[in-house]
Amino acid sequence: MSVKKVIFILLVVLASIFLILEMIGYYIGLSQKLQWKLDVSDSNLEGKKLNELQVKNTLLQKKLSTIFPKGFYIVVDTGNNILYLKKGTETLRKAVISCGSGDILEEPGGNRKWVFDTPRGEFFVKSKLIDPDWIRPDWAFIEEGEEIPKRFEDRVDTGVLGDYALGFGNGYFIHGTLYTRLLGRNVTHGCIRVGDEDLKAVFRAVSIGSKIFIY
Amino acid sequence: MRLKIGAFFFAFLGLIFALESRASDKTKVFLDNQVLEQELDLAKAPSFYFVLNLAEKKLALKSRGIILKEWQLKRVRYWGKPVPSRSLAMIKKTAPFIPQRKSIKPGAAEVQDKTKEKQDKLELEVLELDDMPYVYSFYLEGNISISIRPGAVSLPSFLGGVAHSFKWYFFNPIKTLWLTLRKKSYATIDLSLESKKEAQALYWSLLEGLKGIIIV
Repeated sequence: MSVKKVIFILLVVLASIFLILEMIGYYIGLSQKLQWKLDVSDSNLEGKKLNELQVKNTLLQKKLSTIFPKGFYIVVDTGNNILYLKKGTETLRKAVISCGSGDILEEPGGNRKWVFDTPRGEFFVKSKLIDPDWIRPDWAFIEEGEEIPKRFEDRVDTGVLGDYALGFGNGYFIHGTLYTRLLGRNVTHGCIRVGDEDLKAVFRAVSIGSKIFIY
Repeated sequence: MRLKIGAFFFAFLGLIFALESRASDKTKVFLDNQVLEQELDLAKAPSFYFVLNLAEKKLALKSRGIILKEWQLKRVRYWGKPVPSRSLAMIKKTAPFIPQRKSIKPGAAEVQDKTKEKQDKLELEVLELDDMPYVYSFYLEGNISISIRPGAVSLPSFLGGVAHSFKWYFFNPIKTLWLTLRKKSYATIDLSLESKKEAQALYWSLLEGLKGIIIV
């Protein structure tokens, strides 16, 4: 027998083994796949009446609805830079905003590091401020290459946060902006910048304790 | 006599259909209750969760029972052992190219000055949705993986899709056989989204550690 023929037979045998294994695997896979929709056995449903199940269903839906946020709430889409003012399932206002840049700042020669992300999760309005001042944190000076001031007064910056601000903890605010052309982009240090008119509407609608969902 | 037999036959058929539909209603409500119970548990906690509905081809990011964002799925396919009917945590997400954060040089000009206006588009050194991958996988507890792809957006992504399908039909059966012999279970779900942007938004929104429910 020539070498070519041996190689050919070997290849055929290997291919056959592969195909057989493939077929067995496919058969097991298909039988498993059928179970995806048949996971309710009769024993699960035994003794259960349709109307009892329907009553339970209504009860569960009612329970779930009690968890829904009450009154006005804010939903922030940090990826698309959109803020929604909502009540129930209704969207009352949709605003183009600016969220965190995701950039990193490290203190030269220091141990501190900041990641400028808008925090994600469930928050609530902790404070409502009119004509807010920005108390510049350390990173604001480090980013600018300036020396960190010792006096509190040197940290106060007026007129940069717009007319209103809604605090939601850890120094994060939903506030106004001077840089309206950057609305729709991720440019902030974690705060949420909103255009004047939208900010006014949101500020008026929500109260302390209103939920903020940021994703 | 013939008429009587005919009437009896149709009445009998009607009864069978009525019983069958009642049984399927029962199953439907039973399953719905199961999902509601699981969701109730998740909604009580102050954290987000996802609901992947394979039957309705929808994936929702939810919190407190409300939908924060919903993605319409273009195509859904699954393979392997059925997913357990309980909430599952996302252990990790992986992508061929993971977006890197940019570092700020202290003392550099302010953000608004750093921007270069080029063809009416501001170029910023920030991490945005466009930087996110659109082909990636989520790994859930219980050896469950979810692969995400957008519908074909370009020739490379079309070719990638073909390669992925090849892997799906040839690799999955072998893996199934191998894991069955080792008495291990696994499940894999393939989701195709409407667009590249939708896939990127999903990557952005679903974070590791998130819990969720899969409805078949």
